[in-house]
Amino acid sequence: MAEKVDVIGEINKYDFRVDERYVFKAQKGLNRDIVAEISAMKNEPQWMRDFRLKALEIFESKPMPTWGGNIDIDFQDIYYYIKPTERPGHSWEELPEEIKKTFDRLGIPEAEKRFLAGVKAQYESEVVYGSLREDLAKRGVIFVDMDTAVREYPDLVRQYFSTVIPPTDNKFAALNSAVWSGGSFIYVPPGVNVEFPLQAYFRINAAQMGQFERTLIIVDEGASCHYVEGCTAPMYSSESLHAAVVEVIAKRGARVRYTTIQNWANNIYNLVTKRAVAYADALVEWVDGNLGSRLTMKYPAVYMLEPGARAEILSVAFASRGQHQDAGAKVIHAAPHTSSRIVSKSISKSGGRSSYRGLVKIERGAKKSKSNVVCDALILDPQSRSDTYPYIELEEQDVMIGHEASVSKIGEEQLFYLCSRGLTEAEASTMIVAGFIEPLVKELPMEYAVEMNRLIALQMEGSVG
Amino acid sequence: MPSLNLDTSFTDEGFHNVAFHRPQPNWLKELRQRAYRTFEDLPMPNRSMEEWRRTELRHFRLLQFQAWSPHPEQAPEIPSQLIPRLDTDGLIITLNGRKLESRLDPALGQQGVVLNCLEDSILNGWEELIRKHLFSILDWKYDKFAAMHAAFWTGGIFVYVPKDIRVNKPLLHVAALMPGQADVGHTLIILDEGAEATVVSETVSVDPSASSLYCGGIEIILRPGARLRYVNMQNWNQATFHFAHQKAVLAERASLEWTLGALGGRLAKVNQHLVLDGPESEGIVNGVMFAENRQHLAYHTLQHHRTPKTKSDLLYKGALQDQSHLVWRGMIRVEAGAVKADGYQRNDNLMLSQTARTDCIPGLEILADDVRCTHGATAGRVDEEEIFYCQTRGLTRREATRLVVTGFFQQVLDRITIDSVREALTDIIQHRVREYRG
Repeated sequence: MAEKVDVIGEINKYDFRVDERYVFKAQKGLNRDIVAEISAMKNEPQWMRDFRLKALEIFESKPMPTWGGNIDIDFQDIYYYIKPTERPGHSWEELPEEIKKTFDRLGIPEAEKRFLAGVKAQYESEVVYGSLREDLAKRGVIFVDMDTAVREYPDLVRQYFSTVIPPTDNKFAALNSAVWSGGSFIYVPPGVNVEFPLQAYFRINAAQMGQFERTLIIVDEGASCHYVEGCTAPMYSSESLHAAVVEVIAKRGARVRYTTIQNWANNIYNLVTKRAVAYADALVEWVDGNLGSRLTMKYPAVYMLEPGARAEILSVAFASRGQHQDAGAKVIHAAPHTSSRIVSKSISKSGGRSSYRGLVKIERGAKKSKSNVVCDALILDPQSRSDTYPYIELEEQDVMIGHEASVSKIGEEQLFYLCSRGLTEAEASTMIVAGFIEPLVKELPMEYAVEMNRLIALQMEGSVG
Repeated sequence: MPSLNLDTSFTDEGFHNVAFHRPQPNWLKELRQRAYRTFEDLPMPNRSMEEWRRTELRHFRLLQFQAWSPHPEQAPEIPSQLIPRLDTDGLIITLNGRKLESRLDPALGQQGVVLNCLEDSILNGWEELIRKHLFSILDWKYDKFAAMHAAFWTGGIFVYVPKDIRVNKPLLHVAALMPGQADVGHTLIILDEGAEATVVSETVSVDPSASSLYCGGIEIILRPGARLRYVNMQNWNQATFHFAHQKAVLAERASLEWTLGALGGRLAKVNQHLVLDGPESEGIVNGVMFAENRQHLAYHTLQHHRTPKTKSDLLYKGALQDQSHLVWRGMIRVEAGAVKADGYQRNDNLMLSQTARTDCIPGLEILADDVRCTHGATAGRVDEEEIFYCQTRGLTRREATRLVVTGFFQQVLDRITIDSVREALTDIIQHRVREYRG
């Protein structure tokens, strides 16, 4: 590599914590009072309060999933709501010192200056900073945090909120629906193309914290946008929980790309429900990079509801010591002439376990649908594990479906070749892994691509003994 | 033996009548009793269980079947596809799971080769070997049907080939079922070191449309260097329920070519389990599935690599017409330390009607690094252009469809090394294909 990475310094870049100074911290645990209190703190309308309480009942009635990873969470030992500041700032100067320091160290303001059309930064439960380029605001683009959206755009929110992922969908979607806070709300009016990415950054700082952001993106007919999210948290001895819900609606002819790079600390449970609906000729792309966390269970989904809808899902998972990445993708073809493509790359190292779990479903009548799934896995040492669980369900004959998957280790020949050119074995391995995930990296905005490569290089440190 | 008027259904009383009114050693009675308790304790599988999510058992009435009944005075005609085709070294015909007749080339008998009823073999000098291996690899606690089989099994067949003995021609087992009856037969095949054999098993219904039940178990044990070709052609009528647990364990350098025909049955639920338990063992699995009308065929396969340098290669091809439903769920599991494993699985399905449905669930669980494991799956329909092309060459639409479907299966048929089995499968496929309407 051209640049020598300072490993200790780089790890510290994310694994730092600042003092907890909060305006409000709800009691630990989960019950009706706490849910009502969160709603009251946010001055929410009655319908949202009722929605939350109903969702809590659903959460309590649903059993824990018996598949995927081992989830060992005491739901009563988590802080469900922490309010870090009185109101979100529109310039860095307005922010409390600790928070500013945090995001400065993560490089958010710098990134914003350089290539983003808008930024939201969420700290614990609330969005603390937000900005949007003026020209976009003038064209009717809305990019606010979800709490603000409930207050300022009640009609839009009520029309779409929870229509893609109802609380009954799964236990963690129900939990999110009960205690959600923060997240992004985006509305792009018909025909408007947002050329630069909109970005959100999620940071968990407190221990035993649950972060439950709720993101809703509506891209109207013929419009387009690219949303990027990054997530980090410092390392604590006890587990924290991240259970987000992301709903995306792509109307006729719209294009949406949702890019996530998650680099959680090793004791975060990351249980996220992400789903998009795509109407006629719309394109939804999920680009999903999963690093860190103790357990990630995340299967970005696209429901293609009208003819010509398309889905592209690109997913990379890196599981290292003590980590289980149970990631994948779901595509539901519910209309004719829909097409989907899933590419999954996973790497297991130092006893980590990465699993691809996916679904391709062709509903009856979805004629001329096409789907192609490719899963590749690399296992870097004898202690690690890789699984592939793709489900293919077809109710229609006039379709073309392909699936392939392979698991292997780094090729001896590739290593030998690179070493013969003067690279150390560690450098060569890193380079091969970088090449392996290249299909994802090349889809990222430049800054993220650089960051992704650095993260992989970090994960690879010491992998070859 | 139970007398004519006893209750022999799958009930408490039926269990006592079937299981205990027969000469057998005490260890076997105890095994049956334990299995029966497990059978009673386990719930009937239902769709809340992951393995049964796609398989509906609502129409299955266990109590309408008899676990045992005396052989009729006059043996019924058995419409076997293979007896006339296959040049064999030995033949055993079972009716409702129990032996009707058997013969074996006397020269092989002198060399110590056994092809006989399993129950009889226990009483005729093979008790020690059978006791050691019966239910030694098959987990009878796995589900209700496995436990039911272990508790109620009768008859069955036993194949034993001693060390370094080679059986040149196939040994054929034809299992026939009569209306309302159950076949709970157990198959135990043991090939000693360096032995070689071909065993072909065919299932047929005596009546073309009456319902019967098969709830069987197959155990195949291959000692070091043994080589077996095993064919299981499941060709019941389309009213029969078929529940099967089949498992083969291969020691070092052993090899198995295992072909499954999944053709019959109102509902078939099969667990096929291949264990590569010794270095350099190798298993090839061929599946030919053809579902029509309202058939539901669910095949769950597992290729289990437990030691280094093992190889498995699975290819299942399925065709579906009418309202049929095909499920294939496969897994390759490589245990930690089983390096240099080479695992492959592939499932291709051809949809021949608008109303058929297929679920295809390949899977990999890899706990070792130095492996090569791959799977692939495809699904699609008949290419209308191919049909059109054939029609321009003077074929009728039905002939054209038949040609295309046979072509689809050719890849798996080519892997079957027993000519007469390949021909029989081809005939059955061609006979089944109807005119294709896209």
